Amino acid sequence: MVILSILLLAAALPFSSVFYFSSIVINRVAILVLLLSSLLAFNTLLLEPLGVGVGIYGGVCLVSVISQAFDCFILASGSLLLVLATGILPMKSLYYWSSTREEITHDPLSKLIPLILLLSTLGMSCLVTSSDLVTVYLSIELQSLPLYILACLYRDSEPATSAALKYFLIGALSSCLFLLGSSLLYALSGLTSLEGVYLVSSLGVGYSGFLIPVLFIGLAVLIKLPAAPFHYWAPDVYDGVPTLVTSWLAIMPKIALLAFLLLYQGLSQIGGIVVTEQSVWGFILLGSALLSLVLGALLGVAQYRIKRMVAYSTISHLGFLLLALGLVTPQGLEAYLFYLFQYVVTSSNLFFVLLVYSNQVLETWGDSTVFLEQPKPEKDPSEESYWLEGLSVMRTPTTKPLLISSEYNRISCFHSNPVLALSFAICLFSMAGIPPLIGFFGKLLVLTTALDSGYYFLVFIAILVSVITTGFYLRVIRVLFFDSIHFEISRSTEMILRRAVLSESDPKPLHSMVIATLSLIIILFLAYPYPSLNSLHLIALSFYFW
Amino acid sequence: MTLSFLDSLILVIPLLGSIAYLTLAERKVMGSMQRRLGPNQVGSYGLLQPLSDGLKLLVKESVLPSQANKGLFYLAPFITLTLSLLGWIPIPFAKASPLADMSLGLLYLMALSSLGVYGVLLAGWSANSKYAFIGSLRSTAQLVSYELPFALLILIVVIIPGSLSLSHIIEAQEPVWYLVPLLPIWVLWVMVVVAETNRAPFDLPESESELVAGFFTEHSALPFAYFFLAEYGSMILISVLSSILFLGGYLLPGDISTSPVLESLVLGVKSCFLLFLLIWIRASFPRVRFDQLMYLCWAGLIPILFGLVILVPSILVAFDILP
Amino acid sequence: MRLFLLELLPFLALVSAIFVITADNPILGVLFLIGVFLTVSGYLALIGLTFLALTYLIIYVGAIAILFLFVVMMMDLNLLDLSELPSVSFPVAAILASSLLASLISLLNQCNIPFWFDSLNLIHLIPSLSSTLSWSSTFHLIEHLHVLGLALYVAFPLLLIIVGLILLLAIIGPIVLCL
Repeated sequence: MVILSILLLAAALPFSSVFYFSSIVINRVAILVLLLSSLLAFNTLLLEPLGVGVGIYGGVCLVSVISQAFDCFILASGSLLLVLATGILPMKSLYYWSSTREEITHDPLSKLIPLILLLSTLGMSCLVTSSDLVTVYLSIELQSLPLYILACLYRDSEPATSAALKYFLIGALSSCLFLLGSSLLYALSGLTSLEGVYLVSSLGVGYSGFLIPVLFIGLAVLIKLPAAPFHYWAPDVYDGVPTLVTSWLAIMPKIALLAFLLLYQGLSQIGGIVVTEQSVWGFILLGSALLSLVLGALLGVAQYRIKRMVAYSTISHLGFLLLALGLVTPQGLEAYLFYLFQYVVTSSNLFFVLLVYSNQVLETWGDSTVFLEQPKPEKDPSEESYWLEGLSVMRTPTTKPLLISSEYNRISCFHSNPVLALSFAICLFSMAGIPPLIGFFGKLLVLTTALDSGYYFLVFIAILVSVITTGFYLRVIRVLFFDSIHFEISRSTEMILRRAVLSESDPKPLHSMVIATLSLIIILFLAYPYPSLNSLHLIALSFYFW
Repeated sequence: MTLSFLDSLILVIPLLGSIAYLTLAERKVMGSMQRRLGPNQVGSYGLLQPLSDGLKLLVKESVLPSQANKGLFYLAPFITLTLSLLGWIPIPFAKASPLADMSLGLLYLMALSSLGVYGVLLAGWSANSKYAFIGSLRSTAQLVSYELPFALLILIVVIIPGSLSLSHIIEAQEPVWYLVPLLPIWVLWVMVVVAETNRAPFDLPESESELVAGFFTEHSALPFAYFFLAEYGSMILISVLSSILFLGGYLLPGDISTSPVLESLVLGVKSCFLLFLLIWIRASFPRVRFDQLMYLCWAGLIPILFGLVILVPSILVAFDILP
Repeated sequence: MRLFLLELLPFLALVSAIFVITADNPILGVLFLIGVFLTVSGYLALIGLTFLALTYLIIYVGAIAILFLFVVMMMDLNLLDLSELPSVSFPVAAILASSLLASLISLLNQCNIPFWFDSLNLIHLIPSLSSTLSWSSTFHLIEHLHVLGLALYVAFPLLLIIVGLILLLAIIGPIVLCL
């Protein structure tokens, strides 16, 4: 389905200049395609026949309940995030802000973006179902190559390209490790299929030999994720690339890679040997979880750009996820799945809000707003207004960072658009794990299962860390609601601003709808948690007991 | 190792002779086309001219520019000549007569032609002269770009017989030469061949009016002679290759029974015609600009060839004549 | 002779790989890199994987390394002296590398399974085909192209499609980046 639509889109694109499709139409089509294929995946999520998994395409892929569920989930969240892409403006319009809306919607670049994102999504759904080392490698490449391309989208801006290059190099490193690991596995067993490798390894060649390649592959995935000891690239990259791409980077590959980690651990049953409580693999997962938790929280406190902060909070969330994964019990799996679900919901909401803010800024400013040189923190680090900088910093001729909200008066973000600010706050609270929201339940599940398995120290650390993260989320909220925003406006910018007030600065209807829905999911999960919890329970059970 | 010293000597010596007389032929043909006599002083009809040229190059002093990278400077001509001579190994002159009948002969030729860029690149860089360097950069860009349509064209031709072995390709042309069904592709092939051999109108790397002599500006005497030999050698090689791919190699039209000698003569005549075509093109067309050259490759040839790479197999499938 | 070459070529590859890192001049470094590619492809050809060797030669030496060399030549890199870069992380890197090497060596000692990737085994990877083929036709098939084609189109068509999509992306990518 996705493949067909990609081909169709690729064929349609040259014609679009003739028939004058707007990029928005193409984007909508892509969204519908993803939704439909997600429905298809959901429709084929049959517990009985898929129980132990069905190998397809001559055994290079294996469809099981869990892979199908992940497939459905990935496609759905992909369609959700594609909604964001309607808001993206090409770089040209950043430079020539006078370019009209017509020009923007008919920019050839913005027509290609949905295509690229579809390809990436295809790679992810392949990754989830793959059961062969070659398939895994190819689909990891297929899902990350579009992201490299997208990360370079604003190739005229120095931080954006440097971030993109960094992302590319790290990705290449991780691919190297993956290939090394898989070629070692092949050398040891002469097979590339994961089950085959498991069979050979259990025949008594001795698993110590298999441990190293398995670890290599695991490490490659951890680097891509980015889990803690390998997290250094994440904040730079998330901060540097355009917000749309950040949202995609922070959410989509994570789902796919985490799903792969799960399948890698379970399906190949290499995990069956290696993951015991004292094993190296489990040790690495839990150690990485611990490091992610601690580093994500501690370094996050020191950040002053919002996208960096989001990156660190992502890392600490990853800590929770890996903790749940490292437990290797059905309850742990359930907690893992639920935490992933809530993470995706919350953070996509967060990115929607962020993008709406930056869109407003773009619409008001038109030129070089969001992707500027990094302001030097030592200039005045105490100034709280740095908090929203990732969204909207303008470097005026006086080289003083300047912050704007949708209005240019001395108004806090809350007053400019109370509902938006409120949903931003709900998001942040949910990430922090404040009780009635969905994030709380995620953390609760993870922590209780970890307690049941006896990891008291880790749980203690996790709770401590979650308090710290709450601290930095609250700082954002303070900026959001209570700080008025100061300006220094030169004459030329004032001209622009005056025009900006005239122009619309409301979020697009589709965006606001999505934000509303997601926020409501976050709040109202409490009222009706059964369907999602039950289905996750079922999936977890089917994974372990078929 | 079937490739003995004697075999290769039997191949190389006539090759050098033919290169020598190709230069004479070029000068004569161009002379006639431009209504002048061409070389006619040394020997009758200038027949000894190439010999005297060669002798002159042998006895001249080889100048090494100061600051040049000595090793690479002398290595580059060797690389170029060796690669151009190595290309003759899989060429069948008559039925079952190549030095080594490789099943991947065409792939081998492609590999060699892609390696040939190194000689150019190293020669230009090591000479430490800006003319040579610009010439080599241009030449490299041109060769690397035209490598793509070259490979795509070979791919299209190879699909029909379903083999990369040159003798298989020739045998498969027994019913009809590929020139007939693939006429449009032949036209593209000629353009690409002219670019690959750095011939006018695509001889940007050595456009005298701008760059003195391109990448081998600083090479003199014997190293220069090596480049010269390599260039004309690869010209002959590529016209032999195109007569194999499109003109049925050593086959005569119809099923006339032939002897090996006649077969190789047939191949020779076809190649001579193609060489004449190359010279003819050189005499007829003015040199293009460099950006036009690149535009032709990336925006003209490659999209068309992508289309053809899909079209030709589709036709084969439609008529159910896949190998 | 062949055995000797089989020993010699990997050794040469290693040596030139070391020279890649230690060369002062970046262009010499790239040239040594080409040396690595050449020796590896020679090795591949010697162990009988001619098709792989030739494609390796075309792609790595003929395309990628030329682009490297081209770009390095055009950039003014002579000013940069690599040996004077701060090497604080050198001991850490050495420790990590040596431990990795040790573990890899211990690992490779366990690899007592004979080399699998020869053409016959590739045919056996395709169970449906090898069962219906008679012996004589199997002999016909032992040509690298056929074996690779069978493996790609019959055994792993999905992988071929994925690779095709990646290549499509590689075509779209430059277009997007150049728009």
